[in-house]
Amino acid sequence: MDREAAGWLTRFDRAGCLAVGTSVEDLCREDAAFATWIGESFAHRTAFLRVLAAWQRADRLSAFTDIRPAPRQVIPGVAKLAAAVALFAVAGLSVLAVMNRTGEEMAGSALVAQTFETELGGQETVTLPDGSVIELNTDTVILADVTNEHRHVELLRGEAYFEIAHDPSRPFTIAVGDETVTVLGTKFSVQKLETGIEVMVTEGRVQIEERAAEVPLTYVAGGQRALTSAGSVLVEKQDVAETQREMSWRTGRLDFADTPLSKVAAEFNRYNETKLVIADDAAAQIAIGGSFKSNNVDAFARLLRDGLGMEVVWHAEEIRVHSSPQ
Amino acid sequence: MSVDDWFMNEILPLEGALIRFLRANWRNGGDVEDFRQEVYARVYAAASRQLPDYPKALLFTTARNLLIDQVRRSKIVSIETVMDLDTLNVSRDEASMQQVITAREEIRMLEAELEKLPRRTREIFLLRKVDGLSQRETAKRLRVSEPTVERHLRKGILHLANALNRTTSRRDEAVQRTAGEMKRFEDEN
Repeated sequence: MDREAAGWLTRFDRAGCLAVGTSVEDLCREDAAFATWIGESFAHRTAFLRVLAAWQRADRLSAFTDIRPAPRQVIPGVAKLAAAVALFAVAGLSVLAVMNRTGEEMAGSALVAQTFETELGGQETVTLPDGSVIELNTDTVILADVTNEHRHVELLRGEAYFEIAHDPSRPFTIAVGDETVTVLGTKFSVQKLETGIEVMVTEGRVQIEERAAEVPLTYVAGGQRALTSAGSVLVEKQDVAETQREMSWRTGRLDFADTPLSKVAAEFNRYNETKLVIADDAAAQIAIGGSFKSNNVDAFARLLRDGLGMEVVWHAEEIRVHSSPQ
Repeated sequence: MSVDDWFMNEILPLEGALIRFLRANWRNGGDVEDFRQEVYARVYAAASRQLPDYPKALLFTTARNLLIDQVRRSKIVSIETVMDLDTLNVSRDEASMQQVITAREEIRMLEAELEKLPRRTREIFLLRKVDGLSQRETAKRLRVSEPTVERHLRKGILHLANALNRTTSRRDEAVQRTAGEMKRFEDEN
């Protein structure tokens, strides 16, 4: 239905009917078929208003011309690229990432990667040109470079769940930290940790290799989870229940079973500006089980206070938790 | 104010919070978009009878009731679902996020969303919206057919409609935090 609404909108635009202040009523007068469609259901009307609103917001773009790519000056651009390649190839960073971050767009736009970002506590699903779907979790940055020749993504920070479209002619690779994850049509999640990466596969197989070495470290299949740290990797089986708990962020929840409060607090802090601080060791070790909304750290803190009798103090930027006084 | 204007100004900016609410309270993520459409239809119907004083309250009450209807209809009521419904209260934080966005933030959001479009779609969109070319002129410039231009614009505007109503700005987070603090203050006093 949204697609239909967008179709009506662009059809009217093509006919030159969309002026500032054009109303749905005006458009109904222009086109009887549209009037019929609008009359069928309020859902049609609201879907149309939705795309109309976006169209009007996009009008602001005309006020800002600096978002257009610079005029095609190939020579200075190429010189910059060569310098960047020399400098950053050594550091093992994607050159495309560098060009994008400095905000300069290359002439010919063939080298421009797409950037996807979520803010703290945010979540977003994106679809790549090849049909692959990526769900970004909190505080995540991804660069995607998908062309007819290759499919390459870099996970710069955070965590994402991938459903990759099958295409043997273009293997899908994900660079994250020191590793490259190579994929052949699977469903899995990747998280960048401070000391390494974590990969959980729900369906299919992925290969993990060190970017520097290009020698496969290991394969991870459905129902398994891999954790890397400084070049070593641990692969373990993960039962379905645990995988589901670890993916509960996809529905805005955090699920735990017998998890120490210190770990639970660390998870909450990934999603919320207000941070939980566990102030003593006894509190840190208390085992927590349950399902919580990831964006409501206040409710969780109140549960600790009211349900577990812990001492909980709210401050401006943090919530401090102490074990109950003996 | 016409109902259309009211809907665009008061309800659409809340889409991000609505989607989060639906996702957080319904296990099947695939239903969320359908629910959104249904919620909007019901809210519009109500508003066309009388413009409500509290758009946010109407929106979330409608969403909540829709979910309750769904549970009743599905006839598979697990204990889990029932317990979830008991706690189906919109947190103050979610509902109080004001979509107060500065022009600068708006442009930044638009740019960021455009970045995500495939190259060709973005190019067409920019020619039409930034350079102000008509669809026909755009088609001529890129040497493609007019239906192609129309198709890309349709894809682009759909992406924007989905994204713009969901992206929060830094301002929203600050407001959310303030709302949380106010609630704590109330709880403790």
